[in-house]
Amino acid sequence: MKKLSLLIMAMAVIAPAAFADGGSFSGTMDFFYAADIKNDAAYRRDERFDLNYSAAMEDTRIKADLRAEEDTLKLNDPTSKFYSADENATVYLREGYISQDINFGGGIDSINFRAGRIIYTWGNADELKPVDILNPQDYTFLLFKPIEERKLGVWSADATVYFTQDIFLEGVTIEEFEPDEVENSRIFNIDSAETAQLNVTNSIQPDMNNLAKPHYALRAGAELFGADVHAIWYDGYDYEPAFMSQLTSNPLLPVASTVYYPEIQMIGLDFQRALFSGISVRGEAGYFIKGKTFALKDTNSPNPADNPFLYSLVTGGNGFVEKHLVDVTAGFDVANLFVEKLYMNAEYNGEIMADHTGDIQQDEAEHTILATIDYPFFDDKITPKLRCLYNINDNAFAAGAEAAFKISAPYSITAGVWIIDGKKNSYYGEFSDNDLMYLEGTATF
Amino acid sequence: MKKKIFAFALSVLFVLPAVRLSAADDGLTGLQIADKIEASNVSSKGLVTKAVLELKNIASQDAEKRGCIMESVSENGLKKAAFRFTDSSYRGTTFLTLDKDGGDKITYIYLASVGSPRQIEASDRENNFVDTDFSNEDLGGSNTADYTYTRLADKKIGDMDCYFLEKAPKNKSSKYSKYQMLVDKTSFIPVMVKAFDKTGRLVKTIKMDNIKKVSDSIYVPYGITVVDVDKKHSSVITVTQAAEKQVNKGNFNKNKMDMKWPEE
Repeated sequence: MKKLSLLIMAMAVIAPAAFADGGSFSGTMDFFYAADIKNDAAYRRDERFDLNYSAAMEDTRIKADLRAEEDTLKLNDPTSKFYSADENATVYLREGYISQDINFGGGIDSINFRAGRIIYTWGNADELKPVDILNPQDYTFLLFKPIEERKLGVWSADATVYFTQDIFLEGVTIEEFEPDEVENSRIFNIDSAETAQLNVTNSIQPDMNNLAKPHYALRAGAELFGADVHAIWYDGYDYEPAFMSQLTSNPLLPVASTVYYPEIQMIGLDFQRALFSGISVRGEAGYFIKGKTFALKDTNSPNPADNPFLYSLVTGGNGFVEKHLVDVTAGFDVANLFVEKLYMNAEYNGEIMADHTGDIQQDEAEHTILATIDYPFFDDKITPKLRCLYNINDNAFAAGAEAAFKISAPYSITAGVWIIDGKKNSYYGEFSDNDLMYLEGTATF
Repeated sequence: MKKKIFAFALSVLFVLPAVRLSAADDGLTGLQIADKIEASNVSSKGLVTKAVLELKNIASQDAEKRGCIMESVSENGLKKAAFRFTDSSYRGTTFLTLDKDGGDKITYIYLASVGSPRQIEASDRENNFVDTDFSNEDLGGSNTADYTYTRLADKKIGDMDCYFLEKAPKNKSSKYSKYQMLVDKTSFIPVMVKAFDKTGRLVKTIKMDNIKKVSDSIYVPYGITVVDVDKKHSSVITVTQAAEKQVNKGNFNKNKMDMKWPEE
């Protein structure tokens, strides 16, 4: 809280000078308090202050988001990268970059360069976004917070050539590696039933000094028959951890595993198109041709012939196999479902593995349905919202209901509940200890 | 008596055609006037308008103010228009309308919480822009091809000569049956628009006043009031600054809707 107070005071001092200079400060204060429903205990207190600076001078723009945060869930957890033994808050640059436009009049409309810590938004689906993989995410919020709020900026450079305002080619090179925030023991219990064999001993992060290893993305965009379409190529690291296991000589710990972040290659596509009667279709798909690994089945049998995972280890494997994967999300929005302003979004997500074999733990195809409904009323001051993700394979779900009350344009309060259920080793069921009720207050200035 | 009858007959012969002539002496049809409305008050350099938007519940008198900025430009006869909130929790929420070849329009909304522009469907253009009483179409303009226009007898508001138009949506699923518009003949600004629902009941009014000339060919209404009759709610835009000036064409690029404008 000390850092938070200092930041607020610094902002109060700097703001007048910044306004005089043509730039402007704005900010958001967010207070999130959650209670653990199952254990009738405090779950999380997350207080955030985002100080935003933005400036635009002719064709040059500057944007920065400095975040001060005190999050009991991360700061009390030594496995979190935000943990600090002698501090009770953290301050970091969530996003900050400079952007320069160069306008032309001929065959090229303009070129835009950006450099700094950037949050990218690629793809047109919601939440389950196969091609929106340029930024690590804070998964400690699971899906309670929207994806844009979960993302963390990456130091990178971005150049976009606009041949017309609709046709462009964009190239990104990413110069740092920051894994997804998933090593939080409160949320991600990797010793759970599903991964009992994964006694993680260490973690290997990519060496970003090795320039021989590419970490870049390309995107081409065009408007085709009224649809916005993008083709994407990504060659870089996966922010999600993967595992490799090996046998040890320790009888108490016969298997040890290592977390690593594989290099992945993906070809992607996304689109959006407004159709009729307030309906729009949107979707995206990624075909991963490198780096997606899947655990072999562990039957707990000591006989390798009956246990694919053990068989892999004794024959020199690491318990995992790499496969091509198609990850696709497609769905539609209805702006006015039955009554004005009743909004519904429904999407399907499928993960389809190529060359699937029976000894792989994950099904050949995983199917998930996501639905969101909200309806603002009372001069849009109150907005109830329902969200549900249902995994068909595991019959597991995560569902949330909340009501947001807009006190006035800068102030709002939201109360809600999230329930997660399913078999303990299922897609969502592994997080079923995270049912919570929450109260959130937001103020902007 | 015969002289009086003769004089009356003369007046009928000469004056009435003159009256009729004054109603349509320019020979413009309703559609042509609508096209002129769309083509007027646009600039190839750019038009930047800063304003304060006040949302008011007429019954309770609860009111809320927000800053906003509007920019438009015309390129090769195609208009691009953008509207953005500049403060409050709606800061950065941006609405973009782009004319396409063939008279069609494509519209996008950008919300910071989504992070990328969302295409809006045509019937969605009749819906209100976030929590205001302005429809998406009010902000971005309408496709003249989506309506049939009838020109009625011209009217005068004070000393302002106005065209009087009635337009009806071709789309049967439209929530409106017709609009009546009074259009200032000098500025081609619709100074009063009334929208009627399917039963013919007045449900919405738009009034534009305090029209000022900001350049040789551009007029801007410094006051725009939209009233939702059913909800007893109004949205009032009070322009604080309007100027024709060079704007960055990138401000109208859907892929740059998250970027700050120098004019903000």
